[in-house]
Amino acid sequence: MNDSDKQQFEQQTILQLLDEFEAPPVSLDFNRRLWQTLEAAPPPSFFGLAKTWLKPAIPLAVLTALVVAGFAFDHHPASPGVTTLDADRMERTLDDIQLLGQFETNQEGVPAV
Amino acid sequence: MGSAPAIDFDAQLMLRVREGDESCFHTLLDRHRNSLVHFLYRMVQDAGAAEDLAQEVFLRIYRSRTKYEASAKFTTWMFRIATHTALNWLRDEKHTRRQTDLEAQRDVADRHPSTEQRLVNGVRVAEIRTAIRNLPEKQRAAVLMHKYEGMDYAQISGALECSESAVKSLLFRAYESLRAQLAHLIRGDI
Repeated sequence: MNDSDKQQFEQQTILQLLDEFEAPPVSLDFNRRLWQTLEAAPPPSFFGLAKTWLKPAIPLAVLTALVVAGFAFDHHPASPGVTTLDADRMERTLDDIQLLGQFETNQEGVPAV
Repeated sequence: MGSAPAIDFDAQLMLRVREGDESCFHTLLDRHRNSLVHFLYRMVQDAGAAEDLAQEVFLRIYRSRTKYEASAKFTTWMFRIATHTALNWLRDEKHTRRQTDLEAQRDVADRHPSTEQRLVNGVRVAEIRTAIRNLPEKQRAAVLMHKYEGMDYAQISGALECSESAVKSLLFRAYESLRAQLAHLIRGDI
């Protein structure tokens, strides 16, 4: 018997020896005990179940949000800053204030009659 | 042309358990109860503890049903939980002490066989049991899954959370160790 044959024989013998290590039968009340424990345990929470049901929709929701955000970024209206109308109005007001200031100065300079 | 990997029957049952079909959990229990208890018995070598641990494993499976994903074979997932549970038990000093006591009781019983053959068989089985118990825990789990559960390298690697080459190495060292410990039985001295 060469080394390879010897090794194969020994391996087979080991596997046969391991067959002799039998496990005892499982108790007849194994299932009953398990169900008793399970029934005593609280049911899963609503949020736990909802999370499970909604989980497959999360990637779709993220994708939709990204598409909407991209669209909004591309098509956003001009920023509501200072319009030309506002600028004109502001300029006129400043002019009015300046005129009023000059008018008051002139009045102070007019000698009393 | 590629096709989606088929989901094994147990995984399909578990997916139905996830959807709330409890009868499928009964089926899973009936299909795997014995192999799970026997695996745990050979791991911890204490019949009572093996059943308690198997109960814990099935409880964990049931409680995590809502998070179940059929990404691997159901049995791979089940044996992963079982191995974790058994390793935790074995690492607990209290149980080690209790196990030694039980072993001592069994040895006393083995010393009083009714026939010579029973004595010889008892001694052989006790030696095989001891040889398995002497293996490092991961090697022991790998051998038990390989020999008694007929799991392949990929499944064992999934259960032990290591690479397939690591599993091959574990099995090689485990069988070498068993061969050395049981050399006299291989020669036929007993």
